[in-house]
Parts: sequence; structure tokens; C-alpha cells
Amino acid sequence: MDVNSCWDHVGSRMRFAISHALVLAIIIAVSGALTIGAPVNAKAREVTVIDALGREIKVELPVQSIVSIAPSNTEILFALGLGANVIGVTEACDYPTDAKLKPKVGQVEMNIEKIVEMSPDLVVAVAGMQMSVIETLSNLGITVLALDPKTLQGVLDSMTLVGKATGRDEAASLLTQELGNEIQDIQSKAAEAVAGEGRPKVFVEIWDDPLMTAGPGTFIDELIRIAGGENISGDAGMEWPEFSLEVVLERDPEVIITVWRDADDVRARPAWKHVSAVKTGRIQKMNPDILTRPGPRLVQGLKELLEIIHPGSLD
Amino acid sequence: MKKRLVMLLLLLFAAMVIAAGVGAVTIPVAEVISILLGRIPYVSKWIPNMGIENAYATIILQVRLPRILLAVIIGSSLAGAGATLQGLFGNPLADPYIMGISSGAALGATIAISFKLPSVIPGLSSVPQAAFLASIATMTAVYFLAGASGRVSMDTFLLSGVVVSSFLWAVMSFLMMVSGDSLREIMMWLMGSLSNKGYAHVKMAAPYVGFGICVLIVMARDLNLLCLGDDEARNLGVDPLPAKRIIVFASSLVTAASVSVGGIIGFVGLIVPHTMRMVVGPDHRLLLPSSIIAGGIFLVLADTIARTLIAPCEIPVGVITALVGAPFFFYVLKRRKR
Repeated sequence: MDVNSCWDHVGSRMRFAISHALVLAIIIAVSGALTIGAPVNAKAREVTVIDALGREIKVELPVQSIVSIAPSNTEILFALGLGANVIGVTEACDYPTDAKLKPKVGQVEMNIEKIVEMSPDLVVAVAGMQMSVIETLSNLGITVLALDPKTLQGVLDSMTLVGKATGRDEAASLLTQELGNEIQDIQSKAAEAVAGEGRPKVFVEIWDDPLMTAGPGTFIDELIRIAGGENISGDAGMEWPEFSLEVVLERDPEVIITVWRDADDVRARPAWKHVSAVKTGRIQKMNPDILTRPGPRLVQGLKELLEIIHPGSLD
Repeated sequence: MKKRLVMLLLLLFAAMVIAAGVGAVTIPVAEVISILLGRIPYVSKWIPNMGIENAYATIILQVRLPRILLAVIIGSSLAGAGATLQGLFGNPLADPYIMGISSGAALGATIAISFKLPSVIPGLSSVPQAAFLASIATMTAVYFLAGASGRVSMDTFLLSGVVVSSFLWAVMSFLMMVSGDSLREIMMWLMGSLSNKGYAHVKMAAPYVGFGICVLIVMARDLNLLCLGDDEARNLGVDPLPAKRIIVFASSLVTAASVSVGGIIGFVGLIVPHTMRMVVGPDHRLLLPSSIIAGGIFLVLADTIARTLIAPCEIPVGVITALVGAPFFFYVLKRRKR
């Protein structure tokens, strides 16, 4: 089994090398025929980056065609001004609006054949969930860059990484600087608010049946902390736990954020009527994409959270 | 015979009281007792008001109690329906979901979740409502498909249940695939849970379950005769076809009601009836009521474990029923053989 897959591997490498050599020969021949007498272009620049899986990725610049197989990656690529180079996205890539017009390469499962047919210069993937796709595409000779940010800073770093891998270093440094400044601004405003009013207790309801919330290790948990709140399920020990309703009632959140149910749904539940957030009406529904997608809009989510947790502190 | 049932009922009551006192939030025993007794008319006059924190009363009366009642309702239905169908089909592998009702409920829930259907009953999300309607529709479909061949044999029933079931699963999988966004929510619903439920859920399921269980207990004698074969039953004064129809209908109804409020909770409908059969024997007049009560006990205890073991997080109760149920079943089996 091991030996076999090993040989498969070598085989595909060799096939790839041979086909590559053939293509190269043809290109040289054709371009040679076309550009006789003309000055030879500076040879393509090649960059090497280390991706989230610790792999050395070699990319030939300029990168003309990119396939993004995660909504967060699509948002990063568009934010770096690479929208025109994106030739394939997933069904879930709904932001920015232009992304929706791009050809689709999959929903949950990626269509490998389609991606190979597009033969993009670069595929941008997510490490954790898409290991098998990454492996398959890499074995087929496609350059795959895996991102896997776990923190807000990590998101900025992954933007820098994408910038480097696509020759967009400058755009990336502008973007991360801008976002970094915004985060710093929010941080200092939140710190000011916390000094005055303390840290309000926040409960985030991801789903109601069963009751699910965002635990430690999620962006939601980090964003709440930065925005000057205290996530009441910060001790849950899991990222997306089913959470005990009686513990929610005991910890008595002052702010409730929902991403699925409306505030009225929460208010209508008899057991919740003594919760502070319900009594004071501080229940807010938010777009989950700006709280969970490791892309540039997390900063927008952070801003909205600050406005919800410490109203008026942004002014 | 009576004594055993009374003992089971006392056990059920004890399990419910224990479950009311145990949870992720620790509440002193004295307060638990005074909150519970304070709610009983006449008795409450004699209970000193201990100045109990409002949150404790809410937790016991609005969070734990409806959840315990729901566990009793669902556990009893699944165990009762399981015992009935195992007897009726003469198949030890029969469980309440074998007629395709769970697939119907799952499809209904999937439709409600992916199309964000609005709720009709206040205080209750559209998910259980859609699940119940869809499972009733499924029941009807299975019924008519099985009857299409002219005469209804139990094999036709089983077969049409299985066919309808796989068809509905396929539709559901397709819907899940298309509505990628709600995938996780649907998966969570399918795993079955009693989390975040209130009296609205109890009120929704209780009438159907109460009615269905009464019918099953009344039909227990006929079920005994049906187990002897159609001809024997006819000779002893039971018309097999209508009797079977009533029994299938009642067990489907209780299953539909409990699946729509609790999701698909496995193992209860399989393990509890078999265990009770080893304890009280195969006579359905005793087996059905004792399975019904024991199902309630089992699910109340399983759910108590589910909501306390890794507090403040919870475990889907279906995981506990399988984890606890399987070894317990082997234990009973081994003791029985000795």
C-alpha cells in the first residue's frame, strides 16, 4: 500500500516533469519563432514562500490566474486587488459581489477536474478542512497555497503571505497596515470603555436547537475580548460547543448576539426572560460571515461588536 | 404484575427528582426541594419562602423541568413504539424509525432550516412543526404504498417503509448539499438533543404521545394474539388487518411526535424493549407498559449525564444512549444467561 502510493507519487511527479518539459519545449519553440530578432523578455521572477502547512511553495510571477476554494480566501484576494485574476471560486464565495459572478469550482466538495481544466497559476486553500483537496491538487502539479490563520494577527499575516505569493507585496502591506491601524484604534477605544464600564458579559448564540455557542480558539472569542467584552463561554474547552442553558442563565449575559435567530425569538423564550440582556433589550443579530471568515471583514465585525458591547464608544 | 409496574413508576419518579436536582449549575438540595414543593398547590403554604434567587427557580422550573418531561415523553414513545413494532414484525431489529418516520421528520426539519420557514406556533421554532407535518405525511405515504398491492402484509409495510425512507434521505441529502450554509445546523438537529427546549415543545408532543400510548396499551392483548399468526388471531376473535393498522398508526404517531421535538435519538427504541423483555417476559400487556416507563427512566438518566458530564458544555443525548445503552444491554444479556 505504502510502496504503491509511493510509486504513484513518483509516477505522477515523473509524468508531470515530462509533460512540463514538453510544454516548455513547445513554448520555447513557438516563442522563439515569434520573437525572432526581438529582445528576449526578462525571465519570469520566481518567489518561494512557506505556507500554513510549512511547505515551501514556489510560484512563478506574475500570477495571472488564481482559483480560491474558500470564501475567506476570495475576500483576501479581492482586497489585494487580485479580483480580475481570480478565475474560479466556490458557491459559498458571496463577497464582494463581483465574486459571485466568477465560475464555480465547488460547494463543499471541490470539483478537481474543473480546477485542473482551468490550470490556474495558483490555488488558495484552507489548511485544516481541505487537506485532501490540497494533496490531490499538489500531486497533479498545481501550485496550492494553504492558509490557516487562527487569530486576528494571523489573518493579517496570511494576507501578507498571499501578497508575497502573488507579487502583490505592496498592496498587502498597505492593506495590513490600514487594517492594523483600525484594529489599534478600536483596541484603544475599547480599553477606554472597559476602564469606565468594565467588561460586559456577552453570549453568542450560534444555533438554538441544540444551543450552540463560540468557545475559546474562535475568532468570535478573540474579537469579543478585543472589543472589551467577556465571552461567557470562554471556558468551554471547545471551539463550537453545545452549551448548557442553565449556565447561560446563571452567568446572566448583559449582551446577547445571535447569528441565526432574531432578537424576538430569544425574547419569546420563557426561560430567558430574567436574563439581563433580554430585560434591557441588548440582543443583536449579526452577520456571521464578518465574525467567522478569516478575511479582511473581521475588522468590520470587530467594529460592530465594539458598538454593540460599548455603545457610543466609537464616536 | 401490578407490583412491578408500580415499582417502575416509583423509579421513574425518583429519576425525575434526581434529574431536577442535578445540573451544570449546582443548586443546594434544600432549595431544589423548596422550589419544587413550592409549586404544588396546598403544599406550598407549608414551605417557608427561603428568599430563593430568581435564577435558581428559573433554572429548575423553566430549564430542567420541561427538559425532564420531554425526556420522559420521548423515551416512553420510542421504547413503546420499539416494543410494539418488534412484536408486530416479529423482528428483533425493528425500531421506531424503521417505518421511515425519522427520515420524514429529518426532511421536514431540513426544509424548515434551509428555507428558513416562519413559525406558526409562538414560542416554538418552525423546525419541530415542519418535522411533525412531514413525518405524518411520510406515515401516510408508507401506509398507502403498502396498501397499494391490495392486501397489507407486514413485509410490505417494512419494505415500503424502507423504500420511502431511503428516498427521503436522498432528497434530504440533496437539499443539504445545495444549502451548504445550513449544513452544520441540520447535522446538529439530526444528532438529536433535548437542549434549549421549553414547555412549548412538551405541549406540542404530549397530546399525540398520550393518545398513542393509550392506544398501544389497549391493543396489547390483540398484539399478543397477532404474534401467534393471522389465522390464530382470527380464530380468537381479532380481525388482523384493522388491528395491525391501528397498532402501526399509534406507534407511528408517537414516534413522529417525539422525533419532531427531540431529533433522532437512537438506541432507546431498540435497547429498552429488549431489556424489558428479558426482565418481564414477552407478554405485551406487561411488556408494553413497562417498556414505556423504562424508556422514560432511561432517557431521563441519559440526558442528565449528557448535560452534566462535560459541563458547561453538553453532549448530544444520542451519544450517551448509545454509549451507556450498549454495554448495559450486554450486561443484562449476560446476567440473563447465567
